[in-house]
Amino acid sequence: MADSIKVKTVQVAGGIEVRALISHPMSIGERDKASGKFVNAHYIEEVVVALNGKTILQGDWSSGIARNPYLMFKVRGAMPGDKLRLGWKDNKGGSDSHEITLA
Amino acid sequence: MSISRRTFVRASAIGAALTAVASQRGNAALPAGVFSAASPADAIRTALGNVTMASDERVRLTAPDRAENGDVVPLSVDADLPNIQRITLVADQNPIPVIAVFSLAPEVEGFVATRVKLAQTCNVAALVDSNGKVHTGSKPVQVLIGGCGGE
Repeated sequence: MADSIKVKTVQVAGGIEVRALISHPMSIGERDKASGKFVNAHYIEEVVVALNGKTILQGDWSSGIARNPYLMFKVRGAMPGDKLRLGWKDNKGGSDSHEITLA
Repeated sequence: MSISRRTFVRASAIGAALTAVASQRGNAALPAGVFSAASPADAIRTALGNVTMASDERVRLTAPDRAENGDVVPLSVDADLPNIQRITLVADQNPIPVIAVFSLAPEVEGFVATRVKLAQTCNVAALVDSNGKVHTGSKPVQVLIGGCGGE
């Protein structure tokens, strides 16, 4: 699952703006004809963003987030040299994480 | 804006239920069942405890009026409120109404943007926890081809 995460940051007044793109099917599964229920879903359940090791954002997701999730948020007071790490886990045990150093 | 009050209240109540339950557990983890709870009634019952909730124009939810394709609908929430702890996104007609819960540290501004699936025309709502209250913003979105498709 390597390289599933792309992170870009832009400096804005007072901090940074983070744009993250994750490659993931975010599948709701197929409808089982017998039971009418959706089976075999495959989606990211948890996204964690840490700044210098401290969790600053946690996303708990359903399969209602679109395929190849996009996430944008803003962090106050982030400085050049800070380490920003984004990781995800999905409902089938898959995971990935990516760390960047702010320029 | 012509938001059906009923659907709005319903969406808001679901989110409040979740945030209420989640805050009892602390910020760390949401209870199991948040996303599998297809019964809004249960969630509402849990909600009507200690959370004060109100529609608030400081919660700005941006979404298209019409979404050609419900599989990919951009949403953003910009909340001009102090001490925001959590932003919850809800679509009242989705099979799983709660799309996402974002828990934010103080360093993170009250802003998130993402892309969601909408099963059909619905109201989307953002529920923002700030200083122990839940502030809500919502918007109807007309969906031409539903995401989360049944086929």
